[in-house]
Amino acid sequence: MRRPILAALSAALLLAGAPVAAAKTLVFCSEGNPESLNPQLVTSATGIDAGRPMFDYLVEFKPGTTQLEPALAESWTISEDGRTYTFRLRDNVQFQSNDAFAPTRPLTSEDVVFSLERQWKPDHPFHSVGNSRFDYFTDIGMGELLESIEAPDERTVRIRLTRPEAPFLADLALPFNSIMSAEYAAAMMKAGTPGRVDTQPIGTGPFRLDSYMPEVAVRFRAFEGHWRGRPAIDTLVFSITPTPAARLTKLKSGECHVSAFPSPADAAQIEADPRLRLLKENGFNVGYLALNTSRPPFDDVRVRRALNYAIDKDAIIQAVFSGMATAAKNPMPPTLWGYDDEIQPYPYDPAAARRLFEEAGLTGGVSADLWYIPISRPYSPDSKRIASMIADDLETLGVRVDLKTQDWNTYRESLMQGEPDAALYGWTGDTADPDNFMSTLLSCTAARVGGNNIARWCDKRFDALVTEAKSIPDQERRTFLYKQAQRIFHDEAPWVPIAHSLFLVAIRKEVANFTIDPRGYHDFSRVDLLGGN
Amino acid sequence: MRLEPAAFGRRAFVLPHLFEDMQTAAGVARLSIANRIFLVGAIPILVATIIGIASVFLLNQADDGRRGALVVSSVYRNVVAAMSSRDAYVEAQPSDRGRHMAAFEASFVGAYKGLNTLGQTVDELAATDAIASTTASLQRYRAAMGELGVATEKNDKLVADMNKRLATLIDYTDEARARQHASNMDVVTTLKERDESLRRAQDLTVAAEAARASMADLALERAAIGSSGLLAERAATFETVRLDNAVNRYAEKLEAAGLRDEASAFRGTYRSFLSGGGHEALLGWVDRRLKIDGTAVRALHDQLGELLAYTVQANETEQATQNIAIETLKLGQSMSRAVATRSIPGIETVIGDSRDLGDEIAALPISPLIQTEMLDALNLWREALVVMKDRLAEQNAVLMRMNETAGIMIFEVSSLNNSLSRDADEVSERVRLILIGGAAIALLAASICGILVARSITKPLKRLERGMIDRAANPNAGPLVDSGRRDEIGLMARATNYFLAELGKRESALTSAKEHTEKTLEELKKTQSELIQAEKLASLGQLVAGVAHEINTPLGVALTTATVVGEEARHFRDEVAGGRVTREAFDSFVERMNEGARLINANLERSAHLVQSFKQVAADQASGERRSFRMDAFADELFTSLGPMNKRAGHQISVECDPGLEMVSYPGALAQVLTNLLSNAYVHAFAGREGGQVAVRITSRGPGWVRVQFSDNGRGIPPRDRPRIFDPFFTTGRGSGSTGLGLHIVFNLVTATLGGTIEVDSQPGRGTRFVIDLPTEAPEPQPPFDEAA
Repeated sequence: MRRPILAALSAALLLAGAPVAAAKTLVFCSEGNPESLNPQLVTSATGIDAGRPMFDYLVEFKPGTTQLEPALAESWTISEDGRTYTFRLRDNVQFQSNDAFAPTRPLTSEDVVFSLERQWKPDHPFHSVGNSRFDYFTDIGMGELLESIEAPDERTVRIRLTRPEAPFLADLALPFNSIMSAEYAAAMMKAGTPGRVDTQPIGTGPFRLDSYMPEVAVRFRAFEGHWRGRPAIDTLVFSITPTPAARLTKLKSGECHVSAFPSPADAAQIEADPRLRLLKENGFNVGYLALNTSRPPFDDVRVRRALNYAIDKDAIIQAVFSGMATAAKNPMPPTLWGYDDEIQPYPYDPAAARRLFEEAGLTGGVSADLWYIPISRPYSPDSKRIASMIADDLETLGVRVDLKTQDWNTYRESLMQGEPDAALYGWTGDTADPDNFMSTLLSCTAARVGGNNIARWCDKRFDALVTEAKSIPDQERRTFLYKQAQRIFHDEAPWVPIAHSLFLVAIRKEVANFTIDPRGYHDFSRVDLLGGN
Repeated sequence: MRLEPAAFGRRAFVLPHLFEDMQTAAGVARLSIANRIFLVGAIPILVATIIGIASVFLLNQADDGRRGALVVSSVYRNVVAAMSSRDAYVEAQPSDRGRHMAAFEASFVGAYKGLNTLGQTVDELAATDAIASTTASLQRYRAAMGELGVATEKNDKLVADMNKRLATLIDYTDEARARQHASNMDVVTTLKERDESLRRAQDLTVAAEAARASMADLALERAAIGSSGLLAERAATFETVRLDNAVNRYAEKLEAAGLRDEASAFRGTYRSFLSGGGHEALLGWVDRRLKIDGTAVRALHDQLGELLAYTVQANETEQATQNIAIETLKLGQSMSRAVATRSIPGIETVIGDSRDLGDEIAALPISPLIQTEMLDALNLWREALVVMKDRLAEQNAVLMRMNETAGIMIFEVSSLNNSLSRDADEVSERVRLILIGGAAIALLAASICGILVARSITKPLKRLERGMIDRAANPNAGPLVDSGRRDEIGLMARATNYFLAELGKRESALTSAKEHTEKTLEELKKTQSELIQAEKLASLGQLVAGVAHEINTPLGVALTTATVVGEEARHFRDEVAGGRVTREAFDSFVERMNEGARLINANLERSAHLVQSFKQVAADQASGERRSFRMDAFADELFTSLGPMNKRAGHQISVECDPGLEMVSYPGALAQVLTNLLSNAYVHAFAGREGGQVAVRITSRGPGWVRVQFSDNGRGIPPRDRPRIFDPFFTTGRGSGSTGLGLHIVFNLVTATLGGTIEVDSQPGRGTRFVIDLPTEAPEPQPPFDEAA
């Protein structure tokens, strides 16, 4: 025990003479506190970003693309009926360690089974640990999809589905399918601290968790034993900085190297700064105003349509997005296959809106809550301002709007509980599959309490279409089905789709190998710093 | 003196038996008096010699012990010095440690050498073991010191490194603060920018609202034209001008805000309004702008609020960073203190404090770039501190062990010291015991011997005395019984017998005795005490001889007178029977009878008196008792007894004594003094002449003292001899048989036994005077030892 400490000491002493920071520390100015560090438990990009450095998946997207490539599974086969997936695991993949745990074995099929079954099976010993809820897993319908998960040997995992599922492989690259350590879970259960599995996760990813200090930072260290080799940087810090202006200031002064969600209003300024780069990508996102269809006044489709006419999206895009967005008409981004561009958007037509209100008998004025997002999101850089502009627009219809918000995690929670009458929200797709929008956000499954269907909109026709589209591999047919579904969505107007924003990341010039992720995440697994800090 | 030849004639065969006889205790009784006395003298000398040899041997041993103890005390000093060097070493600054280590080494070597020396000099088994164990302890102590030295050196290095690390942490803190400060300045700049944007947005909003108000007014006037005609139309023209101004002002504001496209679009809309378009388009345009800029104002307000909050937080962070620098410095001090006092709990406290500081650093939104390094530096420092804690604990254990060893060592050295000193003391004590005990035993032995010897001498002497007295009264009582003895008493008895037998042949015996005396004189010199004793006894014999002679004369006169009276009576009876007694003849007969009776009576009385005197003198002489007597009676008796000596050469002696002088003293000794003086006068002062005069005058000399002046009118003592006359064997009359002991005895008796002084005053040719001052009460009886001597 003493020898390594001394070795570490002497190594450190050699470094002690050097000036500040010979170690490479990359600082990411993130926008908020992650709701959890376990990707199984999160749905927000903030939480997904925070969990991502620690984990790997069976398969993953090639950086910057939506193409899949082998990760922890070095190969796989799919049965002819499209229902059985057999994965061959990579050999000798090491898990990280922490103060409470040191792994005794490399990755095995047991870990994969644990990671999936925890979310899937209600009787799994870890299913209810820490009042966990696996919303993403549930919303995407994984529970119904899975039939069995088997581990014939240490390096083989066989998953059988109840039906063929086109996006299944892509689903396995989603954050909630991070591969956890079954050994760690068992050790923590034995130690009586099963909750540590979520608060101090152990994975096989390029970084291991050092510490998480809410409101201050999440700190990661390079994991020396990563199967792809140690990452180029030594320390990765998520410096939690909710104020966009402060993030920009810190980026400019070099206090951070990468800034999440720069304000589109500052885009010009960033592009003009020789020390900085602004990365732009058409995001897989949609920002929208969800109207709660389960109760008045938005249970009336005429009212919902009136809102679609009444809201001046262009003004919003100009004022709030500084033009870094396109107006939305469908629930999924135009960059995704299956997008129906033939749909005519509701124009800005206050008179039409007024007519519809008259039809609906709402001439006597109406009042409604309008919730806005407390932090900046790519699909909503200044939600409060959008809400204000919408309130101004609705004022002409005699609608008295009460603006409301809560802190980010509570906000999401409240939305999923169906609390607001109307709420600004948005979604960034995790996969290049329309299903990730259509099904995740608008299916009847997601309309449950706690589900992602904020509008609580359950349309049987729509649901049938997206469910069918999901189960067939034929993209053409699926496109057809999704287009039909988009028409239903347009007619029924559960949302006012607002914008598809550009996904922006501001980085300093010395940051190398940072690839912008169209899904709106920040991936640091390959990042390096040039010329030191 | 006349007995001397007889007394020492047999000595030649007595002496060879001395040592044979000493082999048995019973033999003592058979030894001669001389040998007995020799034995009495020899015992103390022999014992003293043995004691001396034993003491020298033992004292040498004691000296060895003391030398050892001296070495041990130097070892002790060195051990203590080594211990204090160690303490100093432990407490010293790292740079000073070398000095203390050297001091320790020197002390160790000193102690080690000392122990070695000791090991070579001391050969007692227990001590050798103790030295070996002390040496082992010492080596253990030194080995532990070696360990401590190595450990301390490592620790010092670690402390130095840790201080460097802490300094690095402080540098980091400074940098963090600098960064924070720079960041704060940036934030202020951003704040100004946003404030500027806000002001612009507000300007736009105000201008847009003014334009909208003008539009509303114009619309109102136009609506009024229809009803109130020309006047209203004029007013409408006025409003048109107003609107024109407001629109222009708003467009300028838009241009000023950099919204040139918006401004020209606005002007276009306005133009189409002027050329008869509806007011809805212009109003809608302005409303849209108002919505945008109005929400921008609100958004900018919010942003400014956030930025202000952030600025406040950033300033707090800057302050907190400074505090961390201070805490870090304090931590360094606490560590130094804890390390200096080797306090494990202290270090644990510092470890806890450093953990708190780490938490504090982690909880602050310090520049993340530095924060990680700060935390790492602190963590490494803490890990080093944990190592330090363990090392210190080990060192403390070594120190404890050393203290124990030191305690044992001190104890061992002290006991070694004690044991050696005790040995020396014991030896000294033994010597002292031997000396005291030996002396006591020798004294006792000598005393017992002395008493036995004295008894063995005095008893037969008394018997002899009684025998002689008996024979003086009854010469026909036969020879003395002790004549069979082989010692001097036997000689005396035989001499007395001889004397009794050869009473008539005194003169010729004297002559023959002289020859013997000369022969034994040489031996006499060798046996001083024997001779003194013999001299004393000889004077007694002399006395006896004188008395015998003296008695003889009156007895003879009485006998003759009795014979004559008998003759006279027979003759007178014949006369009466013959009737021829005349009155005259009768008267004459009566007269002669009277005379005869008186004469007989007188002579018999004189004889009785003589015997009485002699009896007392002899008793005194023989017993040596201390008793009270009257000086005049004593002098009378003595000189009466000595009468015959006077008559020998017709010397005259006059004795004058103050009456009523009461003495408590030794009459025997005093008698011998006067006898010897008288004898001395006759032998030396009146040598070769007759009719010498001796005057003895006894006077009181103040209370408690008497003075005896003994004067003669003899030839005196030459001045060169005068200082030596009291020396033993000093004599001018060696040729005439003097022993040279007479005056020596006088001197001894006067000064020792009688407690007085004696002085001599002499002028050659005019006589000599001895002045003796005596206390009326002589000193208490001397121990038998002295009396025997």
